[in-house]
Amino acid sequence: MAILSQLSRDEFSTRLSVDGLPLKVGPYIYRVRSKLPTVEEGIRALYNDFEIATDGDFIDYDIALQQKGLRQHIHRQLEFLFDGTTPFNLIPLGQAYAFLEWGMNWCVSIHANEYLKLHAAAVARNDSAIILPGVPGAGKSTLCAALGLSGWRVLSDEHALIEPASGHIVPLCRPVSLKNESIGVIKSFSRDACFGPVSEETHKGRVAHMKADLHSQSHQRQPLSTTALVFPRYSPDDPQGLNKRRRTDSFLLAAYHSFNYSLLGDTGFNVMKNLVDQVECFDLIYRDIDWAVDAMNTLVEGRHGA
Amino acid sequence: MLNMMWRNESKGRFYDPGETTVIYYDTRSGDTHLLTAFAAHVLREFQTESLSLASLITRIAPVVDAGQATDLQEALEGVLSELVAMDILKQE
Repeated sequence: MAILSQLSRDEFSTRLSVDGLPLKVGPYIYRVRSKLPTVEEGIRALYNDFEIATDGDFIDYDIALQQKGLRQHIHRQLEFLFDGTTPFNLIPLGQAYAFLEWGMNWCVSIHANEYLKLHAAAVARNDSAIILPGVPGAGKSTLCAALGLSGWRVLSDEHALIEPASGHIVPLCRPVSLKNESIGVIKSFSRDACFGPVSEETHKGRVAHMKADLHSQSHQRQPLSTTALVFPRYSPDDPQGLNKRRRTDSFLLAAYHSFNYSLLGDTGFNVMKNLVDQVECFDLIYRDIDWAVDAMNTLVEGRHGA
Repeated sequence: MLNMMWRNESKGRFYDPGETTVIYYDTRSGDTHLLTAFAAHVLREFQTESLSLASLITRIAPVVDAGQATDLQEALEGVLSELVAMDILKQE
C-alpha cells in the first residue's frame, strides 16, 4: 500500500500532470489529472496521507482540470473534465482548487446511488457516528472542521452515505470546505488546521479546504453504526442549545437533505425509517464553536441532559 | 356531506414512532407526507375499503375523547379535505 507522501516531488508532479493520480477516497477511486500548480499544491497539502490505487484497480471517477487552447489561457479560464466530457461551463482560473473539490463532490452527488445519500457532514467518536445534515450556510462544515481538530474522526463533510442493507454509514473522508468567516473561525480555533489554496470570489465567496484526515482511523473503510442525527444551525442571535427533536420531523428534514431519497423509492423510505428509528435526533443551535464542540462531546459521553 | 364516499387512492406505508405526527410514504406517487397522528388514524380506516363520512364518524367516535366528540364531524371534514389535497384520498 503506497500513500501519496511516499512519492518523490518529481514523481508526484509527473503522475498528476500526465497519467493522473489514482486516489482511494472512501469506497471510491478518483483519478485526478492536472498540470495546474494550484491543484498540485492543494492535493499535496490535503491528500498527502491518502492511499494511491494500484494499476488494475477500477477507477470510479476520472477527472481532470485543464487549460486548453489559447482562448482559455488569455481569459484565465479552465475546464473540468469527467470521463473526458465537460459537464460544466468554463471556470475562472482563480477558483481552480475549489472547483476540483466541488467536482469531486458532484461525482458522488449524481452517481453512487447504491447508498442513501444525505447532504450532511458526518463525524465519529469511539466508533459512534453522528450525522450532521444541513443546508449550505447552516454551519455544519465549521462544526465538522472543529470536531476534526478536537479528536473526532471526520467521516465526510458533504455526503453521508447510508448502506441500505446495514443502515451503517460508509466513511468518505475528504477535505472540509470552509467559506468566508468560517475560515477565520477555524484558524482561530486551532493552529493545527492545515488549509489548501484559497479560492476568491467564487459563487460562495471566499473558499478554502481544510485537511480532514487527522484521526488515526481516518482512512479505515468499515461502515459505522449511527447514534444520532444532529441538525446544526449557526445563529448569532438565538440562545445556544442542544435540544431533542421529533423523529418524524427529522425524517422529513433528512429526506429533504437527501440527494436520492426520492430516486430510491421504497428503498429510500425503508433506509430512512430504519436510520431515524435507531438514533436520537437533535437540533444544535450555536454561535460559539467551543460551546458547540463541548455539546457534541456531551452527546457521545452520555452527559447530555445529565 | 355525511353520505359522500371517499376512497384511498394511494398505496402507502407509515412510519409511526408514537409522536404527535406520523410519516406517510405514498408508494404510488413517491411522495412523503407528515400527517398528524389523528389524520394517520383516519387514513388507516381507508386501507381496505371506501367509507362515507357517517361511517367514518361511527368508527372514529369511540377513540375520541367525549369532550371532542361534538367537533368530530368538523375535524373529520378537515382531515378528509387535507388528504384529498395531498392526492391520497379521492372523493367518489
